[in-house]
Amino acid sequence: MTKKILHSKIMIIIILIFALLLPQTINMPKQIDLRAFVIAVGVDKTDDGTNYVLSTQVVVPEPSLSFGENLQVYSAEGKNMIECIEHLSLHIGKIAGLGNVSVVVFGNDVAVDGINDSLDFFLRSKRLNDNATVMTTDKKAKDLLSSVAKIDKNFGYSLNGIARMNSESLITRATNLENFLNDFYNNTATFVSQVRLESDDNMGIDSSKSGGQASGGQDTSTVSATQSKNTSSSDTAESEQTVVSNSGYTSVFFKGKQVEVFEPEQMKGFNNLLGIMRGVYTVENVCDNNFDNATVAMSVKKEHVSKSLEFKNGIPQVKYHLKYSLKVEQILQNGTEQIILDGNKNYVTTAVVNKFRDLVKSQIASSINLEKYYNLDLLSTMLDYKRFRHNDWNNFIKTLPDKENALSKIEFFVDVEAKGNV
Amino acid sequence: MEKQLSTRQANAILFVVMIASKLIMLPSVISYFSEQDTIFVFLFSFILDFAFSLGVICLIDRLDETILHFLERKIGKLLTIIIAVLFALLFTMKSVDIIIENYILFDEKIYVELNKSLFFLMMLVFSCYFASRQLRSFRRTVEILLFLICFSFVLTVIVSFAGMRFNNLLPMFTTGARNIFVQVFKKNFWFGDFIFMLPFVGNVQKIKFTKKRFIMTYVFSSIVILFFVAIFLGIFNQTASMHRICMLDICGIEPRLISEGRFNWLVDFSFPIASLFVLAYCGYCAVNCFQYFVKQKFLSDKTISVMLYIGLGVGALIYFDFNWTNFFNFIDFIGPYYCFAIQYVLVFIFFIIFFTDKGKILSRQKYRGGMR
Repeated sequence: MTKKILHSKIMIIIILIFALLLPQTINMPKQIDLRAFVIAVGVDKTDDGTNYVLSTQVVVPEPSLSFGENLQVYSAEGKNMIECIEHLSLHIGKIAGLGNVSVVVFGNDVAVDGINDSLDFFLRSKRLNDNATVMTTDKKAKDLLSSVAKIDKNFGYSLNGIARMNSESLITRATNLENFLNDFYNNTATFVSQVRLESDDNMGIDSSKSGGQASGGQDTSTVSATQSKNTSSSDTAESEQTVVSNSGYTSVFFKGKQVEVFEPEQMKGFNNLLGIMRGVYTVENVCDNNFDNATVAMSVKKEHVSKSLEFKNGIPQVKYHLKYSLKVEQILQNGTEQIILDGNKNYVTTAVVNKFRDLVKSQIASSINLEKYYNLDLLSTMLDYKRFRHNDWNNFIKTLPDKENALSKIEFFVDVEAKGNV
Repeated sequence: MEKQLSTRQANAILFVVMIASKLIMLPSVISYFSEQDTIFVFLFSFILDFAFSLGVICLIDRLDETILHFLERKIGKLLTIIIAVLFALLFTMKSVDIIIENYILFDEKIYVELNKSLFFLMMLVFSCYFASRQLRSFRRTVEILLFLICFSFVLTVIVSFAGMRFNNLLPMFTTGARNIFVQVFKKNFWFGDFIFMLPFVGNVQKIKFTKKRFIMTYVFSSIVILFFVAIFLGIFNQTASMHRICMLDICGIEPRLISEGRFNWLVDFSFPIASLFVLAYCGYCAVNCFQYFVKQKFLSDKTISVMLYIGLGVGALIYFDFNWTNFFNFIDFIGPYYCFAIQYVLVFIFFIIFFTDKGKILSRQKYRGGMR
C-alpha cells in the first residue's frame, strides 16, 4: 500500500501539501478570539438624522458553573451599515459576526424614514441568518437592546420570543427578514411587531428586577470606558421604572417605510382573517335559558380560515369563511337570579355563538375598513388575485380609471361559524 | 474491449453528476431571470436533454468502442482531435464552475476562511488525482456516495418542506414563453448532462435492460431536480435569487431547535463531497479527451494530459481573477453559443454519423453477464 502511494506523484503532492499546512493549524487562534457573536442588532439614526447608529447585543463568553451568558450592548456610528460594522469591530476588537443574529430592531426614526437602505446591507450580508425577526420600537432600538440584555441570561432569545407574543393574540405574525423582503418585492404591506419600553408594570418583563440580579448586561457606549460606566449606571436607574412589553402594537410597512402603527384593538380583525388569533374573546349581555345578562369569556381551541376569490359582474369578491371551536372559560352572571352551571358542560349556546359572531364580524369590518382607508394590501388580497385569477384580475384592472385604488373596489364577505369543542 | 462499469454503476454516476451539478447554485441563478417560471426553464431544458440522451443511450447500447475511436474511424484523425480539444475545453470549464461554486459554499455557509488560491489549488490537485485514474476508480466511490446523497436529499426535503408555500409558485408564465426559451438557451452550460454519458460509450457492461435503466435514471434524476426547484421557489419566492447556495439555504430557513438544526450539517458536508465527485468526473473526461491526441516520448500521455488540464484550469481561474462574477459574465456572454455548438450541434452530428452508418448493426454487442 505504502509502495503504491509513494509511486503516485499526485499522492506525494497531496501528502506534501498536508505536511506543510497541518502544522499551521496548531498555531491558529481560536475563532472566538477573532469574532464577536452578535445575537441582536438595533438600527437608529443620530439626532441630526444624518448618520446611522448600529447597536449590537454581543455574547461575551465567561466561565460559569451554570449554563449562562453575559450580553453586552455595543454601538457605533456611521454613514451606512458597513461603516457602522467596521467601527463596531474596532470598538470590540473583534470582527462582528452576524451569523447568529435572531432579531433586527429598527428605531422609530429609521422605520419612518424607511428601512430599505439598512435592510439592503443585511440582505447582501451572506452571513446573516435569514430567520432574523424584524421588529420595531417606538423610541430608540439601542435602549430596547440594553434593557433586554439585562434580562436575557440563558441564551433564550428573549426579544425574539417577545416579538412573537402580545397581550391580544398569543401568536402574532412575527415577520422575519425573508417574509419582509418577499412582501416588499410583492408590493404588499407587512405587519411588524412593535416592542416598547413602557413604564407600566402590569405587563411585559420587568427589566429592573432582572437587571438587579444580573451581573453583566451593561451598556457599553462608543465614547470611552468611563463614560460608558456612567451611562450604564444612569440607564439602570432610568430603567428601574420600565418594562419590555409587546402590547400588540403593530407597525405597518409599505415599500419599506413605516406607514402607520396599528393599536392592538385594530389588529384583532386582521389576526382573525390571517388565522393567527388565539386570544380570549369576551362577550357581554348574553341572555338565554342558561345565562342571565352574563359576561362570558371564551378561548379558541381551533380555528380554520378559508378564503375564496370570486368575480361577480366583473367585480372581485373575496369570501372568508371562519370556523371556530370555542371553550367557555369563565361566566360572570350579572342578573339577580343567578344560575349555577354544570362544570362538566361547555355552554357554547346559540346566544353565545350569536354574540361571538357579531363580535368577530365587527372586529373584521373595522380592520377591512382600515385596510381600505390606508389603501394597503395587508391581507395579500390583490396578490392572491394576481396569483390565482391572473387573467380575470388583469381584465378588472383594465376597467378601472384609477388603478391605484383597486383595493377599494374589492368586496369582502365574511361568514363566521362557531361551536363548542366539547 | 474491457468494460469498466456495470450498468448500475454507470447509472449511479449519472444520477450523482446530474443532482450534484445542479442543486448547489443553479436554481438561484435562473430564478433571477425567470422568477416563478424557473421551473419551466428546468423542465424544457430537461426535455431537450432527454431527447439527446436517448441518442447517447443508443450509442452506449450499440457501440463497442469509445466515442473518439468511433469518430476517428468515421471522420478521420484530424477532425476527431479538434472535437476532443473542444470537449476538453468544455469539461475544463465545467470543472472551474464547480470549483468556484464550492469556494462560495465553503466561504459563505461553512464559515471557513480560506486562502482562495490554496483552495483552488487543492481542488485541482484532487481533481487531477481522480482524472489520472481509470473509469473503474469511480465505481466504488459512487456506490458509497449514492447513499450519502440520497440520504441528504431526503433530509433536505423533510427539513424544508414545512416552509414551502405553494402560493409562491404562482402566477406561472409571467415572464413569457420567449424569456423561458431564452433562458433555456442561455443557461445551457449547466445542462446537457448527456455529454457526461459519452465516456460510458464502449465502457459499460450491457445487460438486457441497459437502455431502459439509463432512460429511467435520466427521467428520475430530472424529476428529483424539478421537485427540488419547486421546493426552493416555494420557500423563497421573490428572494430566491438572493440565496446562492440553494441546497443549504433551504435547510436553514425554518426556525428550529439547535439540536435539530445540527442535521443540516449532514447536508452541508455531503453535497460538497458529491460536487467534488462531479469535479473529479469532469477532470477525468477532460483528461481523457487530451489523452486522445497527446503523443510524445518524454512523459506518459496521462501525465501530460493532466498537466494540460491543470494548466487550462489555472489559466481560466487567473483569467477570471478567481472571481465568480467574472466567470458568470463570461458564461452568460460566450458560454451559451459555445456550449450549444459543442453539446447540441456536435453531438447531433455524432448521431447523424452513427445513424447513417450502415455497419452499426454489425458492431452491436451481444449482452454479456458479469464484469471483466
